[in-house]
Formats: sequence, C-alpha cells, structure tokens
Amino acid sequence: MSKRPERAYLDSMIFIFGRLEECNSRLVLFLAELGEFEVVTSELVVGEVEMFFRENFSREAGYLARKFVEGLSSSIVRRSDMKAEMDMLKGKIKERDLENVAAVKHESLEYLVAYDRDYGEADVKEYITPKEFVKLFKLRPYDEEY
Amino acid sequence: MVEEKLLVRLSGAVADVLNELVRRGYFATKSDAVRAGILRLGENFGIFRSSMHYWRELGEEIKRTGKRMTHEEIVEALKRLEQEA
Repeated sequence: MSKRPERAYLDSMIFIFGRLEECNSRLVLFLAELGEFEVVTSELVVGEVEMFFRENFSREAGYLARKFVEGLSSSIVRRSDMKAEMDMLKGKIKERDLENVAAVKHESLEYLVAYDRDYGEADVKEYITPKEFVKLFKLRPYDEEY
Repeated sequence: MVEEKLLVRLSGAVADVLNELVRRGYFATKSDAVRAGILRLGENFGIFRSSMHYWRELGEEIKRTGKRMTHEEIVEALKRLEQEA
C-alpha cells in the first residue's frame, strides 16, 4: 500500500481533530479540499461528526459540521446498502468499528484513514493513520500520528 | 443522487478557455473543468456552498461559542461519542 490514493474512507475523528487542531488530520482534509483524492464517508461518520460538534459546541456547529462532511464527500455510504458486508464482518470486528469497515469493503477502497489501535489489532488491512496517509502524498507530516 | 448527461457544443473563446484549463493542468479532463465551472456558478448565484465555506463557518461558530477543548478533552469526548453511537 504505497501508491498515491485516489479514494479513501475518512473516519469521524479525521474531521473532528482536523477542525480543532493543527495535525495530520487537518492535512488530510486539505488534501481532499484540493482534490488530491476523493473522500468516502458513511451515514455513521456524518452523524458522529454532527453529534460531536453539537454536543461540545452548539447546535449550529453541529449543522455546519454535517454540511462540511457532506460537501467534502464524493460518496456517503448508506447503511441499507452495506447490509451484506456488515453481516459478513459481524463477530470478526468490534461492533463500533463494524460500520466503517463494512463501508470500506462495500466501496472496495484501499484506505481507511483513522487513528484507532483496534483496527490494527483486528488486522484491517485498509487501516492507515493520518500520518502515514499524508506521507503517501510526499508531504512532511506532524510528529503525532493523528 | 441525481445524474445529468449533457452534450454541449463549444466553440470560440469558451472552447479555447476549456482547452487551456486542461492544458495547464488545472483540471485532468474537460469534463472536470465543466463540473467545477458549474459549481462556481452555483456559488456565485447563492445556490451552492462549497465544503470550504462550511469549514470556515464552523471555525467561526466554534470561536463564537468561546469554548476551547484540549487534546485530552477531545479524546474523552470521542470516547463518549463512541459509547453513545
């Protein structure tokens, strides 16, 4: 997995850390804004990002965060479209990671950009940290993994 | 998602500009340039707002609330979020 990505699935934390801190997640979002790769997300990601900003900042922040994720995503995978993948993965992946991995499989993506050790431990081969992802574009990443 | 297929004949300055946009590498294909142009028109007429618009607005709204989260607070909030989800 070393070639420059054309499409990638972004986990909720990329949007959250990317908006709140100077970090590799922000670089990932800027690369997407520049059209360097296409963003794929899911209903779960859209909902989580909205909920995070609504609960921690304001209702308006939640709305704007949702619009941002929707606007940046070239594709938002629906739960109803990936039932088969979810059934296949049940029991093999932690419940809370299931939907993200199912969406990645459904879209046949090579990269799931996230910062979550559980993906590594579950041997999800598409998993890549923001730091490693940024390196694929020959950018110099921040020291932190996220 | 709505899909539209268009066959558009272009000539003169419009065709020249389109070719130049691709030749200079701003867009990989003519179709990409046309898509971007339509979105730009949508922005100009207030029909469409880009993700960058919402990025900036979100930043402004966060400032307006006056709330600041440390890295540790973000991590904690993410954990709560996962439990709720």
